[in-house]
Amino acid sequence: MSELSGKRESASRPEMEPSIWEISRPGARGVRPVSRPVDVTDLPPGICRQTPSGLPELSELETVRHFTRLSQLSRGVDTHFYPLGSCTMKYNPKVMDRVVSLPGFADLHPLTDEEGMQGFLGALWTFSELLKEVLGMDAVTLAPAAGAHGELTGILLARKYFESRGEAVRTEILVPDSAHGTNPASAAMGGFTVRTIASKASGHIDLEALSASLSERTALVMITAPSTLGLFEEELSEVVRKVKAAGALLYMDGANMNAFLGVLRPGDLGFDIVHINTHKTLATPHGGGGPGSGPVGVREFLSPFLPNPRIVRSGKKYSVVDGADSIGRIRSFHGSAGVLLRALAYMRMLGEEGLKRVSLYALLNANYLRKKLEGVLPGMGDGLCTHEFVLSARSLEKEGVRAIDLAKGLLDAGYYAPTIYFPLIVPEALMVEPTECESRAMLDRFADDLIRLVGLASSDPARLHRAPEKTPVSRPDEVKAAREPVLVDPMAAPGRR
Amino acid sequence: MADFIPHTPEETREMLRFVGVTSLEDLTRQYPSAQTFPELPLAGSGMTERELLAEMELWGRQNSGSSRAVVFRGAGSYEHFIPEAVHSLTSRGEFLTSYTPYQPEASQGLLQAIFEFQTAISRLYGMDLSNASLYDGATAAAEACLVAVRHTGRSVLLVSEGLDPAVVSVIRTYTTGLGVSLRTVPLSEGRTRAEDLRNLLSSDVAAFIGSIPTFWGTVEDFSGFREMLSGQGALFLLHANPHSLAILRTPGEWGADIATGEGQPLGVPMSGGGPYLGLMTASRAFMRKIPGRLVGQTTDQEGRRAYVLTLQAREQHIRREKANSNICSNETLLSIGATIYLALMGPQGLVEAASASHQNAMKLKKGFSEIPGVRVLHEGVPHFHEFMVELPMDARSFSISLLERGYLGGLPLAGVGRIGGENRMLWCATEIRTDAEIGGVLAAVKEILAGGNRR
Repeated sequence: MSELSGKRESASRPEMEPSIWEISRPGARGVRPVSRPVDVTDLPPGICRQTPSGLPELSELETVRHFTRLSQLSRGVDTHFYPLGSCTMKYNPKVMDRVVSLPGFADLHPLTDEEGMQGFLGALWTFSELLKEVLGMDAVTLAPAAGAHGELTGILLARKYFESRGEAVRTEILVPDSAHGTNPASAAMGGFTVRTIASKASGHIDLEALSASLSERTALVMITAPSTLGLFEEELSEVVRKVKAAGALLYMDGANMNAFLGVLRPGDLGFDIVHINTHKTLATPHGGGGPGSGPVGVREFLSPFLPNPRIVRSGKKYSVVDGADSIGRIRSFHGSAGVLLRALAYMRMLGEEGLKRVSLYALLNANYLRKKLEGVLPGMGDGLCTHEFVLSARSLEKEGVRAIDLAKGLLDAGYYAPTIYFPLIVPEALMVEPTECESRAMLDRFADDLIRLVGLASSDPARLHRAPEKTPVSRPDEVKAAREPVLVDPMAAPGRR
Repeated sequence: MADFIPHTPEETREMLRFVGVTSLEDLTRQYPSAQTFPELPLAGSGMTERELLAEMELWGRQNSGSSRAVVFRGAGSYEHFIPEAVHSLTSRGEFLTSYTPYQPEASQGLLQAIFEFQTAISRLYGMDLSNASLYDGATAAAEACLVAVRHTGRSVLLVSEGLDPAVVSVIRTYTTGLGVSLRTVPLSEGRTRAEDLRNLLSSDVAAFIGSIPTFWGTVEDFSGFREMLSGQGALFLLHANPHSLAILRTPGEWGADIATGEGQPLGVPMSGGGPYLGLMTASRAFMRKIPGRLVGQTTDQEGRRAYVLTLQAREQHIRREKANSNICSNETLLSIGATIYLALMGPQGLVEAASASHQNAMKLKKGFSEIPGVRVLHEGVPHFHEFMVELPMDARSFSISLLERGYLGGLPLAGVGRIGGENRMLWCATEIRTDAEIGGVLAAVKEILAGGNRR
């Protein structure tokens, strides 16, 4: 099965595509936006553009071919198994592409008078009700554009809440060392001091370290549940008790909500604030880096502070209102509706039973794959894992093989790679998340290939060091990229024709 | 009911046996059992594709009157021509269903598309470089302000009254808690007077941020601003509509240090307000200070051209609380769409579209100036594709009357900044409006005014 097994063959790489400025032909035209070109003569020359824009010039067909070829030089869930841990790369149902292009959505101006957008407001309001239910929270904002944006929102909510209580002395946020980098970065952006809590060797939160850090200065404790190691925090109820006793709020990073969907609710666990990533848990496509969206759920006492504008219902009418105690706007308009409507449609399509099956099968696939790989590379935790698991390739270091080499070998074997070198507390980490959408046959194939690659570490490590050999390029020189940054195409230099 | 789970009952049984549990539910024994399996009555019983589309169509139909309306509203979101190829190409699964390109060898096409986006946007803004996008224009402006605060170590931001009040609101949200104060630089007849800026400048000013064009539709002359600001050690930030830059003087030409913008006019549908596309460009001096992903060109081990995410030492996954932003996800798919849009339009097409927007707006403005009782504001000052009018009646009910006649008219400005007002509206016309539509809306305006406040 694996293209890496068997005899050595010379690298066969698909050809790279020239840059769009290399194929640009002066004078070529793509589409024509207006039937009769007009000359602007009434604007004073001093406020007009002085130099040409230097945009590329191509026919429509040339443009279509260029971007089609670029797409073919990349991989997505539609083309490859994408076990990128913590990113929940599940199937993005095609029907959702249709949903967002329905009349009344894609062509709706965000500042349409309320009377003209009742369906839009109603759909978003319905989505927040559904989210309240699955999160076990009292109120939800749909405004955040991504998970990290949701974190910043939650942190600003906590700030505003403590200010309203005259507790502005709470200036610290506690974050475990296993957390995503966005947690401490968001805390700093919100003007808080970050204190890192060391994890135990098992990867779980160290209760003693937590107690030592909690004080009357603690505003918020940010916990990823389940943890970035794919483990349910064994002493979570004790963590909750300690944080509440200290008068601080408890934040759940819901990046891993695919392990809980329909089965366990952050509100029931004792969290005060939670964000989820619709582009992970609720199957909205991530588009090569975004758009995402990061709705935030909160308990009732935090709802006055939620961002503006808000959608409210009175009787059968939906309105857009601003709250007087709000943290303010966190973006120009309501939210990433084109993403949120997909997520709403996904939840509607699955229903209660389907939502529950998502997390149960995510657990099944992760535990199945983890067991298939037992004894191949050491992992974290001993009982069951949640929706993902972390392996360490440290044992291969004696052969000079690292996690990155296995990742590149997996690219040649026909997959995207797992997340590597995260969480930071596991040396040579490989974080694998199969999601509920992969078949047993795919998991079996992947396990066989990974086992074979680990075998290569002792039999032919050079092969792994050369990988990937089937991708358009071999490993890029990242040091050169950072030392002499080239961030714009030199072919598009100003004035060049 | 759908769940997109591929397992057959037999496979499920075998896999459970292999894992060593008795049922799917048994996999949740790691969770606190008292709290598992809550009832979710709102979630319903699931739907087929057809049932789902029927339900979503029903929601959509309740807006479709307004979405079929002829749009003369802008104020931060604009209806432009979007070539079909944009949607068709961004729907390709390799773009649509991929994550951030952490594995460059398996993401070269995606990385090259982002690199071409960075190049096209930096050229359009006349700036040295661009990042790979931020959430929307407002968050981009706020992040630029944060760069200025960090770079100068100062705590006062001078915010032009020409900036969209929603953008100002986001800047305020982002800077709250950091000890930063915002001071408004007033507009006078739609433009900033140099002496007003000079009077507000001091050694604690981190930056001035202005707008191209202003929220109110006017185009400012920023001559001398760069010198005045750098003389005080403050940064010059400009927030610019990229559509307008086809014909208006660019941030680079005005001497801006960092320029931001809302990329929605570049091939992104209005979509009720998002997802949109935050643009951030900068002069090379700020290359290591700006937030967001950056794609760089390098070579692979055999010397082939290759693209990678670079200068990552600025970012949260490396620097954690010392990072220059918390941003992780951005708006890559929309940035690819914008690149495709710009390639299809080309330099000439973009100039034609921007010129037609300007000309249509000026036709509409002239029409308003000829209606008795209506006052066009800021007459005598250059405008791009928006302008303000004052009506002899309440603008909100006027707007509803227009909507009933099939027009999404200008934005009612009650409570919108000092320049807004109950009888004031902000009108917009883009390149897609026809002479018949412009004539039609003017006739509707006259008809409503003649009928007074009846509706």
